[in-house]
Amino acid sequence: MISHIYIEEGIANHPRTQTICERFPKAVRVSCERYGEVFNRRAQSFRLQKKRPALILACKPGTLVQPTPVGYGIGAPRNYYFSHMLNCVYDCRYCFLQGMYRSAHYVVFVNFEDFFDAIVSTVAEAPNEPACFFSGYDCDSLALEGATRFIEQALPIFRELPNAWLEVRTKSTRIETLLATEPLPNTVIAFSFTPDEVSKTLEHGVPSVARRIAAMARLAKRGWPLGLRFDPLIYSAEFRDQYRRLFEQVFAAIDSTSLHSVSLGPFRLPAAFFRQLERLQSDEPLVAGPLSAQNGMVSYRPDLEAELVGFCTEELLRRVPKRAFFPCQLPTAE
Amino acid sequence: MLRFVVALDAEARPLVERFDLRHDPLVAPYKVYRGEAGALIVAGIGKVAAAAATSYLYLTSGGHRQAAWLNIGVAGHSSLSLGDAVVAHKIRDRASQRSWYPPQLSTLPCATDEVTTVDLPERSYQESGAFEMEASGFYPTACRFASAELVQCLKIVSDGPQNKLELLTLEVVEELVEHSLPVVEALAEHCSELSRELRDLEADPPDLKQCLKTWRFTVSQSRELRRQLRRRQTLAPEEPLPIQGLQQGVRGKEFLARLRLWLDELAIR
Repeated sequence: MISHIYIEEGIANHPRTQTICERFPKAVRVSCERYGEVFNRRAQSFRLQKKRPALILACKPGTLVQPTPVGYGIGAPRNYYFSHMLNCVYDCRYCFLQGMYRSAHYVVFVNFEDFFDAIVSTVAEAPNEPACFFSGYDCDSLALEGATRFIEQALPIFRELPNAWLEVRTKSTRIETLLATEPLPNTVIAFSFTPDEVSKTLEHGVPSVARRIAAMARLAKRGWPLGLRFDPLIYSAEFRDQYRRLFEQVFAAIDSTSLHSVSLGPFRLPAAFFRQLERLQSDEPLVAGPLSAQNGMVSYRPDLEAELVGFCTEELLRRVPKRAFFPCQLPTAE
Repeated sequence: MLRFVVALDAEARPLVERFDLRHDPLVAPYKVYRGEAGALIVAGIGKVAAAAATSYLYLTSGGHRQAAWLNIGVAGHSSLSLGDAVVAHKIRDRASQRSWYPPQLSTLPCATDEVTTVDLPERSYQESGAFEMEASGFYPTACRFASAELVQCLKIVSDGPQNKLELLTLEVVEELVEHSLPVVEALAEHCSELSRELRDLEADPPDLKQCLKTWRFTVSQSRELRRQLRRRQTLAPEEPLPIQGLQQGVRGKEFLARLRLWLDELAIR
């Protein structure tokens, strides 16, 4: 439960600020000049703050839409991401956010219209070239939808942009907004999965695999294009059995006609983020695992990674057409 | 491991008694009390005094990075009643207009509020929140020595529009602090819990000291040794280190390579 909401002075009277605050009537409201006064200051502990994160409402200035890292995409020639929110309500032990930020507070940027304007302008830069926009890069796209209503307001924008795609990446089962909306052919609701055993150990506070599959099946029935994201792939001695079972579970529940894309990527983190992860959760078996550092990234030992990716790729390609399969292409060393 | 910073003897007395602290006669420039629960310093009035005393207490108390720091004291307030306690969710320094935001991670038996640090006693009480004279010196200084979640300010209302500052006596201050001890204890317990958690996270893994004594390591190898011993703590805490055949005096590099290989094998089982 949110106990404190920090509000930038400049957006104190923004209607969206008022609406979001109303969702948390018992929360103490604290005004601040800039969200950076509260968020990500030095000498803060992500691990401790994760026990009870506060909500920060702010206005995001500057560039709101960024190109995605190389190798990240689901078929469009142009790929971008945006972050209307920083940090996630879930506590996945492999998440890069804990390496990136010192704060676990949630930051919601209430200037949604600026994000939408930036998306429209980006599409207009090359109107004949499809562009894909990834939401949920620095947060879960749906988990706080009940309070923010971001997706609800983004969908009409994408309805008017047939040459643009929106990926709503999530582990949440808060799908009410989507069920209540006429499906958009250019919006992919992408669910992330790890095998049940892995999820129970590493994805704290996340709805179970079964609940996510059930939510996905309801969306498929409603007509939403779906995405499956097996990213990060997590190694264990039993990974073959675990992933085979997961794929069977998932593909038994959804019709392949609903499937827009399937992607996978091995566990990897920038080395600096991984060092931070080691400090924050040194007792986590994932961190103590068979990892190696190469080209500034920490990932599984190359032989294990190849085994893991190879097995999952093979299993997935038995179930999905190649044109819908998008493995994450990691940059290779020069 | 608690570190209390208070301005007055009258604020210190109830805390010294409740936390079973004893005067440290070896410390000259400040009155410092110590006990199993931690340490307390009487800083004197004002933010500069609070900042200086906080640094002094840190340096003379072992320099622990995981200690919890609490500034306890009385304050004026425009609307709350005498004896009400508030934890600062925002500290504003009126002179510099700078603000700090202590993270609030617990459900305490008192409200949180904005605390404004003033250079001269506040008598008008026209702005909302609490007014006192130390928090903006204490908080940023203590945050140099500990994670912000472990640094908190608790203020007990001693004066306001209905209770003039001029009528406040040291006896009343002592009574007010004594009356708020349950809140202080709850805050102290909460911060101690966080402090323990951080200490566990940052604790040396078993056998680190012994390894450093037995083999020679460069600085970066020592860091790597610490990482690998942490892995061992997670993967095989009961297993003895793979030191068979390794002689004392060999380079740490050899031991480290052997340790890493052993752990990599364990990690894929």
